[in-house]
Amino acid sequence: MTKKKREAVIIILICNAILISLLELIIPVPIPIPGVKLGLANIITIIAIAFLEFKDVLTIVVLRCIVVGVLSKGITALPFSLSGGLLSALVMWLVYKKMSKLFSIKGISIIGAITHNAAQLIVASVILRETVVLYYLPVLLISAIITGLITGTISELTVKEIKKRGILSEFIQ
Amino acid sequence: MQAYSTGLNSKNTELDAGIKLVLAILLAVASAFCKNGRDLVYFSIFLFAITVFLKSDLRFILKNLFSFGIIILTPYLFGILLSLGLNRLNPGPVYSIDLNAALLKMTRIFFIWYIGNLYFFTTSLEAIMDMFDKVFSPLNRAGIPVSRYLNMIMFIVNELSRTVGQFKGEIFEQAGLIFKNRQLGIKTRLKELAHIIVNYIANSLQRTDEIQEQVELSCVNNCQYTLRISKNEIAAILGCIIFLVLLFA
Repeated sequence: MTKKKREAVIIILICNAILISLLELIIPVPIPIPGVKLGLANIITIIAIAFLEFKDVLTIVVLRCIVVGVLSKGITALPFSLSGGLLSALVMWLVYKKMSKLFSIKGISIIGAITHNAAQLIVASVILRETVVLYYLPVLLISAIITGLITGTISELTVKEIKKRGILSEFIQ
Repeated sequence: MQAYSTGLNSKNTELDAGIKLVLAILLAVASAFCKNGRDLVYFSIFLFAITVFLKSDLRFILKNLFSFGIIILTPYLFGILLSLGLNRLNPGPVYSIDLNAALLKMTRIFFIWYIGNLYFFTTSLEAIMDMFDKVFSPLNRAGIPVSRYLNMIMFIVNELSRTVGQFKGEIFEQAGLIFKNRQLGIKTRLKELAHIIVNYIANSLQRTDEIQEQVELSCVNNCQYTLRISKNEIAAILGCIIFLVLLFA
């Protein structure tokens, strides 16, 4: 696998992550709470964790956050999305590599969602220099369990199907 | 990049991206020194004038307010309301909140948020990437491939502009059918969605060689940025300096 080909696959996966997250517009969220979203882009992060090297996972997360920041929410949301994205990718990668016997992909996705929401709120608390923000944590943690379970279910099915069809087989470590 | 660039008003790109960035940073830093309501009102008026000057629209302001509201304001207000509630139940300094100070702080943070977004929404991505490429060129020489990543970002934006319509047309329709069908259980729906996603990933990965070729070709267009100081840049710099002097004098 050449460096350029790996780069092309990373580009494709980032595009897929951003496009797949658009599906959230038509998928009903069980309980609509401000700041809570399904996080379908996480499916691609989990696929990357399952099939690619860790540095590729980080590249996908960082570039995806920057592109989304530039194209939609605005770049000032970048500290929030980057902190959440990177920390959850790191935690999910560690759990997938070291504790995959204990946790299914659903479990890993829930852990990732919890880490993501907690990291974003901690960054908000640091920026505002206020701890009152952290009162929102229980709301986000409960919703992370639900959204993590939904994206985890889709991710698990997707990873199985990718393995079955031999897609990304060149990358399997 | 064409699709993204043409979305911006051509007059917006008149200011040099580098000078505009320096001015944006200067204003963001200055906003942190607003000490009272009067400063905030003047700063708001100046930001509104800049928004009009850069030909940004009401939709941009609303979009900013919305994202700020979701990411910062909602958890903060929730926390404040909970603190006020707890303060009523159990009065004491632990749950007391200085609402004036909180409002001042939130407004200052919103200004920084707004200035950052205004910069990115009114400057073409191509100009920003070229400028960053130039600024970070020492890192490239030190072996950190910033240019390569900037090139990838540009490529992704281009690729998304090209494929988003097709994605919405095909995949939205398929996914929409699944979620509209009330006879399907949640598990079946998620399974069907997973099938759609896998098919999409599989199809898109078939374009790996094509994307690889295009990335290699796009690498040929290297950095074009040179600092430009014309009448517009001088006027913008003077405008900012005069405003800041008047505000803090």
